[in-house]
Amino acid sequence: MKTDNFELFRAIGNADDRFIDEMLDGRTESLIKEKNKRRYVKGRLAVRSIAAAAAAAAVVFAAADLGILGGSEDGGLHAERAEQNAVVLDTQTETEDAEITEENAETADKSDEMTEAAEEKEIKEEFSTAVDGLPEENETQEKDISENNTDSLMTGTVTTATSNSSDTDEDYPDTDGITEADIASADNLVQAAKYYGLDCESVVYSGGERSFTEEDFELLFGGDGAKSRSVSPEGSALETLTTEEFILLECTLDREDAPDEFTMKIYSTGLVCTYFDGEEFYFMFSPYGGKRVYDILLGE
Amino acid sequence: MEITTSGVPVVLEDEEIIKLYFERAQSAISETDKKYGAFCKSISIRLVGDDRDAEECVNDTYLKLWVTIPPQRPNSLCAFIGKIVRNLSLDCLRRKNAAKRRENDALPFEELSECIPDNSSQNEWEERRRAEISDCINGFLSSLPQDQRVYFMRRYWYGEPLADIAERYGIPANNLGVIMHRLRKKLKKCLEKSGFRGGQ
Repeated sequence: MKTDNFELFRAIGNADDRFIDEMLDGRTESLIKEKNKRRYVKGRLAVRSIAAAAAAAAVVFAAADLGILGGSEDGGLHAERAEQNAVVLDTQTETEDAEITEENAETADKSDEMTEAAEEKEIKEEFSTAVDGLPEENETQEKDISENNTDSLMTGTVTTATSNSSDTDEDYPDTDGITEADIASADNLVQAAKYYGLDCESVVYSGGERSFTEEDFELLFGGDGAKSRSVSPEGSALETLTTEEFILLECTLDREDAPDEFTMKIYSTGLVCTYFDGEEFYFMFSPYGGKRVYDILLGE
Repeated sequence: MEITTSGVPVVLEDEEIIKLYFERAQSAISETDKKYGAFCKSISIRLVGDDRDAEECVNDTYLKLWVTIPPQRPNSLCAFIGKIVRNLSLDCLRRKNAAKRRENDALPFEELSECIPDNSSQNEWEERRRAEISDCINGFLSSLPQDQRVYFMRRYWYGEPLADIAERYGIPANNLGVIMHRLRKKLKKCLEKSGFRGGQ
């Protein structure tokens, strides 16, 4: 059977009465409005919590390479950090729809007023706070390792996780003996995230399965933004983006089950993506920074 | 026109308006216009893009209401009226486009309609096909979460601009763009699954 867009448009006009009534119903409108309001409040809160967790997760990779994870004395430091992060993430999970306090609403209102730059600054500070506490030497080495690891980590794998407030320390896997090679595998990304209080569920996609279309890029960077930054799938402007410490992007992934709203933050040490599927937040972490992130997204 | 003490015109309930149609009272039309005039006009003008044509479509809608009620008794008068005005506006648009094509290109394809052996059965076939597409769309709409369904209807039934929908529901316009993009892809899959394919 053949159809054209005009016929399709006409057929939509004959949709069931209940859908038309629903669309015109004022109560439905306020309900959706309210839901969206809550959704963006939660989104902002979660992004902040996850930024800290991601920074800490990046530390795991550096720490593991230096042999300070697990059995060594410095393991205590990481365990402490894990607890702190678990608290942050617990707070995020416990912020259920019904439990959003007025205080959170106020925070959200404040956030609304904040400029994008101010938000960036705040998250940057949180990011650096999470990394603080490590010996300076380790920080330098972490950067080196992060750069060196990108090649060995080019499995193109990104993990997804949800925070789980019911987790206890006993639920976390034993991270003793993690090697650099182990970290290069998706399973250990999952493990590392678990160590920091995140309950990873599965690997969401692997490099090579993903290809971006021009339309995706428009959605990713916004019509005008794309032009002003001269971003194109082949464009060298991608490298310009990598020089920024992080960039807030709304993007779409070409996957059937990809979320409607997707927030991506790119740090020099990795990529953090969050989304809300209507019930809970999901978290994606990739230890790739800068251009590598785009290589993966482009499926290279 | 009946006016309340506060100066606001009294608007009848749908049931009362339908009752007026059944009683064949002339006021049925004016009451419909009072309650749904602006609604009809907003749908029509988005489709035909011309104030005078829209006005004509709205008047034709009232005439059609007069003819169809009774015997029909709509469950939702609003949806019933909306569908009529939308269909009439689309007919008007199609006529306008066809006239424009005739003027510009002088394509004689309209004349060929005379060659079609049994026009009534073709209409029947088209009606059936249209009903099948509508079934498919209803299935698709049922499968969506409420908010997405409403966004879709606002855009493709009501013809509302994306920016207005985004503002109405407090959602970033960019996010809404992404949602609509996904919904279109989903609908395409749904239609393909039901055996429809593109083309005239």
